[in-house]
Amino acid sequence: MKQIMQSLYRANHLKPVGQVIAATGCGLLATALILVLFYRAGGLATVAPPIVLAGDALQLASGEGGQTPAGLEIRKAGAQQLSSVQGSARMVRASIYRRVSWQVEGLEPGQRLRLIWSTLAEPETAREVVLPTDGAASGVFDLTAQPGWRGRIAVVGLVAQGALNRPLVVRRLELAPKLLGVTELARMALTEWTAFEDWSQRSINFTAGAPLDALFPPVLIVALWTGFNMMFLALFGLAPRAIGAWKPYAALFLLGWLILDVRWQWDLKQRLAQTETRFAGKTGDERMLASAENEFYRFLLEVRERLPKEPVRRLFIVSTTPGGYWAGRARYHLLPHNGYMGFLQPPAIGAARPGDYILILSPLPGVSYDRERRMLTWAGGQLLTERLYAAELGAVLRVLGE
Amino acid sequence: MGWWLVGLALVLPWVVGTLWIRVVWRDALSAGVWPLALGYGYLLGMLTVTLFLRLQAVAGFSADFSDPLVGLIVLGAAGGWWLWRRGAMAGGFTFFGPFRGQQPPWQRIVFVLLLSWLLWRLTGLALEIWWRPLYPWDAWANWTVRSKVWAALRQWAPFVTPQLWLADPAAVVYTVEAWAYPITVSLLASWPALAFGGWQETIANLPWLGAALALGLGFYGQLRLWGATSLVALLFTWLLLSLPILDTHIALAGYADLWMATAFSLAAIAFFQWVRTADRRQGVLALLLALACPLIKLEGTVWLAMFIPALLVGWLRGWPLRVCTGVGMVLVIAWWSLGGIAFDVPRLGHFVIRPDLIQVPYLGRFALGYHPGTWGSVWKNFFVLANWHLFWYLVLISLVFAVLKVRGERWRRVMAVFIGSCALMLFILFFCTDAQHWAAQYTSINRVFMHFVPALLFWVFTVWIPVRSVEKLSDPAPTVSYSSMGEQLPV
Repeated sequence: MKQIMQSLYRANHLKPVGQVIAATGCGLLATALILVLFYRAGGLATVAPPIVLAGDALQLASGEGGQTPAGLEIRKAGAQQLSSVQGSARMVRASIYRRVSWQVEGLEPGQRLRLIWSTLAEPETAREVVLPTDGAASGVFDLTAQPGWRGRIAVVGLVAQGALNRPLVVRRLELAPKLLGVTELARMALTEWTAFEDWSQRSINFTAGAPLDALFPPVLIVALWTGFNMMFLALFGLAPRAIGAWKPYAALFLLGWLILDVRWQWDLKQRLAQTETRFAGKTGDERMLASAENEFYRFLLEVRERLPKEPVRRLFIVSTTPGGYWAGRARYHLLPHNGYMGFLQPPAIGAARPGDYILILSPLPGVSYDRERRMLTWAGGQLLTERLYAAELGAVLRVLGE
Repeated sequence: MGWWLVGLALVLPWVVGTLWIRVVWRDALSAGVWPLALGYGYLLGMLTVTLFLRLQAVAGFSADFSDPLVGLIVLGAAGGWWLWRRGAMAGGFTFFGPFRGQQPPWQRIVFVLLLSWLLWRLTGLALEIWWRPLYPWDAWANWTVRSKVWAALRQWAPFVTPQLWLADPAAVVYTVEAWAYPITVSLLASWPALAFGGWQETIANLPWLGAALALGLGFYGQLRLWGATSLVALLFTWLLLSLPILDTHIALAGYADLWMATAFSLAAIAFFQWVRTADRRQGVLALLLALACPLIKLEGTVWLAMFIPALLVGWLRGWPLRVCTGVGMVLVIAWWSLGGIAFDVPRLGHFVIRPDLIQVPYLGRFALGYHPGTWGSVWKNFFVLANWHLFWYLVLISLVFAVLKVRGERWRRVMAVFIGSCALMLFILFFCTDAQHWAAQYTSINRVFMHFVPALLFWVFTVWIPVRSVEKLSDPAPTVSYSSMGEQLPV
């Protein structure tokens, strides 16, 4: 009798556990089902809207012409008889955006129209594919089979070859997502959830956790799953009436949080491994020389060598981007030399005094140094200086006279 | 020798701060006092160091480790003597409170697993601080520029506007874009570097790890003092310390936001405790840390102001409260119908508060107007990206239940006013001013909310977990008594 009572007691206590497990299973199925239905029933276009290049979004890359109400008109072909237009593809993912459509008027029969593009990973490499125009003014092409259509697409454009007997009017170029199958969606989810995001300058402001344009952002998916779990738990009869009945709901919520935290820990572990590989066991200059800005830091070490041991009275850091990264890094690394980087041009006569120093970060157009006359010259003036060091990344000079 | 002094620079303020909190919590046998003392103690100790360093600068001494060290030793000795004279700390060192033998085995297992998980996380973040050179932008562009100069020169070189720097013929001043920012965070980075005897990025960043520990310990201790069991307290501490944006600010040390979050939130939580229990010690902690907020960031003044509405609701009852609310509304209507006000404050500058513009010296000039586009950034950053795990979903659900409970006890209403004031201020900032760009570009929306999130999480805890009497360390088993404790306001 005692054993029966104990069994019943255990069964009563284990029942909620079983219900929670069943709810998580059903929640998982429901989440997967709803996501597949959403993306298969047209939701993809909402999450990944088509990139339409028309009007000002298209620029002439080769040839002569301009914008007209009808579209970008090319009246004369450019060098090598090429007529080309291009626009930003906004770094869309090639694996999602696999359908290109175009509207181009004025193509001669037999004249070939090519789609060109470059990727984020290889911005200097132009890839291309001949589009099946058949003399028609518009068409659609599936890019799935193109080997170069991968990664993130930076720039996309159209190229027509041959002399133009009549103006070519590019009305529109559009990249659109192609409907994804269930397997493709699953693969996409896996790719997004396992994408590694190393520390970057944006990390301090936000953590994406997946590509910014992810179809399956982990937080949203886990929230959806947790919501379904709770719904199923309520359906299974564990309504949260009493205070004690909240516990399974709390457990489900914490489970969702834990999954996200495990993923975050995995991310942190990988980041730490990168940090360790790069910096562990190194100190001071060694550590900076192991960083991504090693070349720049090496340049600054050379600059520091040419500066006096005592902190210089004033160091003018001149660059094309005074508020930018490199100017700021130069100031920081050269501290306690008394530097400031808010200068687009060398300091005017009167502002700089003998004994001050000027650090110029290349490229700085319009600024030159005459070694014979020891004169730093720019559009607004000139300054008698001694050039102490010059390299590809910049130069450091000592002011000799006002 | 240098590293020993660095250890001393980090540990001594912690010990002194903890000691002084135990001086005022001598009698405490309650679970949570030690973590609270360690958490709040570190923060107060380090803030005291910055005050010593400020005094050193004002007195015209060179930047040096020894003067504040002497001050800390004197403070520590005084605290120790006081503690010894009044009888040693009651209860000894029982950190997590009574859980062995009083909680089911599965709870003990979960507790240990969770604690291990947190320690693993913090170890990883500490190693990031240890290995990685100073990384985030504002850290090397603003905050540590001053620290590095002071530590390297061993002089309190003044920082002025770029215009003054350019105009200074002697060039004995330095400049930085954020020259008007408070110097506390720069001093915090300078302190261990001064102890070391020179600038070293890792050393300068170590106080950030301490800030994270202080936040976790203070948060845990306050949860225990509110009556949470050790497991529930650790669960909520895990929720806090697992937030990716917070972890990022620990790993990529150098920003002021972690200090702002720690100071403001620990102040707010102590304020909540004071409102509920009328414990003056909590009131003092809240006051000290709230007053420190403007010294950490310029926004700290705004955060400090968030205590005012809650204090008014706490202090005033019945018709005085209604009169006060009425007067406030009349003033707002008058301000609106007059088209705003503009005035000068000596030594501060010109203030403009109009329906279309707010200008506050040092904070900035903000054109006012509703920007609905911020909703998109809020949705993306709070509910889609990985910044906060499921925190904002939890807040949304908690809001529903909080509304049902708000009429229950008076302290709930005061806390609701506090949370509401903070939420309203953030709404105005990101939806009605040019700061919408910070939201649109994702540059500071998460960082600014982070200041307030630990306090918000504590409020979430109070919504879900019923008030229980605090566990006594000497009790064989905690006696659980659900209580409204609604009329224990310090009024």
